[in-house]
Amino acid sequence: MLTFEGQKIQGSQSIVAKLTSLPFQQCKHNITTVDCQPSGSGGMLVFVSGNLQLAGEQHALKFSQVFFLLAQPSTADLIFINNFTNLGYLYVAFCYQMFHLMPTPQGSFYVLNDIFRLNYA
Amino acid sequence: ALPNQQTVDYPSFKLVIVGDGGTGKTTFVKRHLTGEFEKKYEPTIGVEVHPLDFFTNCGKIRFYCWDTAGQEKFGGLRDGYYIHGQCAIIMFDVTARLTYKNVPTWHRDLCRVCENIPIVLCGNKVDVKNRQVKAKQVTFHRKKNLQYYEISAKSNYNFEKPFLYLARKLAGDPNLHFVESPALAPPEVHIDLAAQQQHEAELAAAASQPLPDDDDDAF
Repeated sequence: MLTFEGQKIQGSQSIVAKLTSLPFQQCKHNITTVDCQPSGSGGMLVFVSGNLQLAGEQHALKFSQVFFLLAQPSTADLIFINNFTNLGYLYVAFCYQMFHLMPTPQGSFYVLNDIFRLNYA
Repeated sequence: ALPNQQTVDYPSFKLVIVGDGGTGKTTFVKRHLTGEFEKKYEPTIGVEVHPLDFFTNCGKIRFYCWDTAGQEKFGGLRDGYYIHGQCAIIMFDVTARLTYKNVPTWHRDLCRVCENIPIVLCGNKVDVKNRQVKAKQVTFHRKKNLQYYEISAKSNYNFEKPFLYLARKLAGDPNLHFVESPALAPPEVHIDLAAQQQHEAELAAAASQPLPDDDDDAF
């Protein structure tokens, strides 16, 4: 499930539809902090904060994002993760690098929960 | 005004500009050169405030125009953007139908925080040949008793109209007029005035249909 600026979106198809419907093509992420904890069911809680720069916008926007990544034995959701990275939107790939997690066909992580917020008053 | 922004000894009002991303809100406020020169960015609220001065027969008036840093491209805006708004512009892009379809949402969000403030609906980019939203298809303002103007930020077409309407409403003086033009950035495109006159005529014809009466100031 994704909560995007307060809007709740359930299921990978709906989430991809939401992300692809955002009215911009590119969004440059500058990640400032990443905090991570091992969690239940072999999962992992990740908290990311940083800045977003949209094309044509003069000022960066601050954002925070929380992921719960769950170990996943099948390959089905790996495709889902790749979809995200192809969109250039999320940092699951980034997380892999950061934590030396290698997605493999037999065992990978998928995003079970994802909460995104811009930080402004 | 923002905390670090200077206040003035003549009437000033907070003007919130809303509408979908890419409709030209920033381009529109940046046309006013002194406002562009004096703008201030407040990162904690993610807003750029442009102080736009106009010269009326009753003296100067200032609109503190609040412009987002693009947050609306992610979703709705927070209440902090609207709070203490005294007048508003809702902008859509006549070349993108979806931006007009979203106008009721922007109007609802705005009115939830700012009750009973004067609002102008602006259809921007009327210089573009392939319009998707024709003048006569614009009816939302008639249902909600807003003023509507066709504008083209890049050509400065009707730039002053929304501000004049809001100034008249805020001053409570329907005869208020501007006595001097503010310095504007030179036009980047030129508008086909004949075509635009036809659009305005269509708009006037549509407005004469028996729907809620528009507060029609004759200019």
